[in-house]
Amino acid sequence: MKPLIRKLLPILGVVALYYLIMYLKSIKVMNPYHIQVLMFAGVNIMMTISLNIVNGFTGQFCIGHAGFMSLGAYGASIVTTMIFGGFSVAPNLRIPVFLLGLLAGGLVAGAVGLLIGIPTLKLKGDYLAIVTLAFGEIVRATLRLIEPIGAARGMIGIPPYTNFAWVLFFVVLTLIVARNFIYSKHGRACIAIRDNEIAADAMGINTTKYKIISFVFAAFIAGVAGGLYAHIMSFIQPDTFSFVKSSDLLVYLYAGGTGSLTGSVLGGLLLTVLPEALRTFGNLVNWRIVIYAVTLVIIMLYRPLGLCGGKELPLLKINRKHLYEKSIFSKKSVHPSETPN
Amino acid sequence: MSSRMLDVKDLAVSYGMITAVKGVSFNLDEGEIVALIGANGAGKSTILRTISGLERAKSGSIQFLGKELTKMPAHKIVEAGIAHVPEGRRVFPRLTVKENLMLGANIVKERSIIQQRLERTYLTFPRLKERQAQLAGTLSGGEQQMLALGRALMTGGKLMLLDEPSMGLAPIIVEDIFRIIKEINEAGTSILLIEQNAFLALQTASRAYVLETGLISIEGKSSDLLKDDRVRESYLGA
Repeated sequence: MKPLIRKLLPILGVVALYYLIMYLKSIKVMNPYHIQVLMFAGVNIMMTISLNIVNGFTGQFCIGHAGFMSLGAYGASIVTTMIFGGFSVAPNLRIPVFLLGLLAGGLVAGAVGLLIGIPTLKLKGDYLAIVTLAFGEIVRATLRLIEPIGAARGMIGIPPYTNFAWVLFFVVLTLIVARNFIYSKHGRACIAIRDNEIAADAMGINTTKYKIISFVFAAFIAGVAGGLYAHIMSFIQPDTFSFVKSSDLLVYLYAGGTGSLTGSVLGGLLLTVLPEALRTFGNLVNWRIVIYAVTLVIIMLYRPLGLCGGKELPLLKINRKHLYEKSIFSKKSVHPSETPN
Repeated sequence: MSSRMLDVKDLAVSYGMITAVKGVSFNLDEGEIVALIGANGAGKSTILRTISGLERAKSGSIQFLGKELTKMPAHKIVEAGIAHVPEGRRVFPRLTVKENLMLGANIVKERSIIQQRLERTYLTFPRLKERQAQLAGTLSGGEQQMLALGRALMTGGKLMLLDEPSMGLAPIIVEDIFRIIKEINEAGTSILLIEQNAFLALQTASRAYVLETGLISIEGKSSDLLKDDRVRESYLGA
């Protein structure tokens, strides 16, 4: 019974959170603007987790992550708006079309991730940073030139399918999948590459393969997040996904703490909500960007590894105890607490 | 007569313009411990790294059990049966001891084999069993070296490449490590050993090659080399 309860508890918590927010909305404590900020926070959390898989867990350095987000946003919007005609879709088909769009967005981003990952991830060192930096800008420049999707003016008329429930659902789904990936054999191989690529190589780990796996996986998540974003905004423009967006994501990641899913959630949430929250403080409005920056400096001074660098809520960890409970030698139990010494 | 396991012929390796290894030939028979000794910069580590595919050979060949290794990627070489224990231990500090060991068996799919190797590793290193739930970064230097050796055992390699196993360890621990290296060898794993401590290396190995700036200058049985005047003068300080 107990493990079952332990498994259900987080899900109940998420459901409770959803109803709490819906309740706060119904009694007008939260207005649609608040909800929208929370939805952006959700998208940013997904983007941060995605970046964390590459930068935090595999030890590579991607600095053009907004490029994948824009590919996902455009990919999803093309499916929902141009292929299925946007607002003219029958109401009962809206959810399947929306999900199909998100899947398409994820796949486009993942496929492009594979395309640029294969040549660059073979190399060791900082090449990925340079290539992804260029990649983000190439995507932006190219999208600005494609007339059928609005070129530099952007794409309008995207139906706002994304609601708070969907964002919450995808954030939780991303967390579960990312957690299971990290604590799998594959995730362990990625962490080994981060900690010491040479030793990982010497252990028979195909480092290129695992780097590509984690990169494509991250690109897919970023694509889905981009799709969600497009269907919140109803309008996307290539310049939204510029290098500024990529560097924002890096800030969320490093302030939250690399190598920690808890940190990604915290970083994405706090740093999306904070600049918006500062808008409401009358005279401080003009200073909000300054306050935002100072907050970041303080975080990095007092928590150089980020808010939760390398640490994790128990919820987001796989309980590693089972690894040590299995009896290695037939008679003796080898749980560490029972070993003498 | 035991059979030839590793045959290196005219191996040359360069880093850009600098040639680190200039045509080296040596071999190792099954069940042997062979040492490569020599001063800093003689090219010892480069040779090991080239055998396990971490560096690319410029020319020459490396035959291991009839397979040519010079064109093989590193992870395939591990599958072929070579386990490299890199210089400076390089354990994965933020994983536990057991997770480090499990990574050594990354290429193995069958759980029963992994379990079997884990038992064998824990028998060889009881200390690792005691510390299996501890993060590898918190181990002492000697324990980390044991973990690096244990991790190499987990790959199930037939030939183990040891790069400076004594580096940075207290003399009493070095003695321990070398006793275990001999045990591993007696259990059937061949060993190619690199060591700056020439005396220790010659005591452990049956044969040795002396490397000087990328070339082999002296080779022979360890017992002969221990008596060789040139070796005594340059490497044993006698």
